[in-house]
Amino acid sequence: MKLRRGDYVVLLLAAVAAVSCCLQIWWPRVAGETAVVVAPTGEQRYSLSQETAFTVDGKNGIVLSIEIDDGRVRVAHSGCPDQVCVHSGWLSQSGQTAACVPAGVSVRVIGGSPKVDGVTS
Amino acid sequence: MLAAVLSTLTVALSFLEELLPPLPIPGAKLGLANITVMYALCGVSVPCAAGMVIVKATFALLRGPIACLMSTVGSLLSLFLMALTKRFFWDKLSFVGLGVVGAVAHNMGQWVISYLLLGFAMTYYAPLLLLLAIPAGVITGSVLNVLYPYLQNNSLFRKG
Repeated sequence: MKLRRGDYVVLLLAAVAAVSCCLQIWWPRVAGETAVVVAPTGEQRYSLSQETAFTVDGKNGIVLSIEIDDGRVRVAHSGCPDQVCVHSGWLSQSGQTAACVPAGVSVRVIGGSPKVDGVTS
Repeated sequence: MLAAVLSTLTVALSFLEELLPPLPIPGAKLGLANITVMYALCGVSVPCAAGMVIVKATFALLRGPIACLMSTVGSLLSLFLMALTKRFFWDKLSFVGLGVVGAVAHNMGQWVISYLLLGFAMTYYAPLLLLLAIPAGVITGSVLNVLYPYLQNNSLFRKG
């Protein structure tokens, strides 16, 4: 089969939708100040201006090791099978997230003063 | 018979995809199994494609209940939107357009599940996966654009 005109229309629409979603959520990037760790047991906030490491107990007996180091945070180890959160690496910008779905744990960086108003950030 | 062959191929393709080296972006996948699902949708019937999706989701249980739930919701939503697209726009589209619709819809379905499980956090990661769904849909769609005429000429894959 050959490409038809509708294919280009679909591609264009999908590209516009995806790019506008990206801009909406990631723009503008500012350095975050606080890490929010959401676990099944509740939500904890940690200042990023410290050097610390701790563990969080997730669902299904999964334990995550989280490190905070000079303005950034990461999931250093996780007992989950897919390691998506570990591969997310260091997070430092407001809005960046690492999530472990099997454990029901997420780490999100918030804070910092956005350059644009609260609606677009 | 044809439904069984296609279901087997779907499961085989999703396992094959697990064997490929992982992309540098966590959670991003090519969606090879969508090739057989789209073939079933256009070359056989919607119920056949739906059955294949359910078989595939059952096998996703091997990767855990959450993977299974994401697979079920993502691929059913994807199939639903592809079936609608095919019903109304098939004279204007090829498998590339259909594949992009399917890949994006699959993504949205998975996003809804991760939102329900994790709350707002995943929202910050979803747009990247949405962006990657487009080339994934183009690749699977192009594969089927090339293969479809050959499959239709093969008695094993032709309906009836």
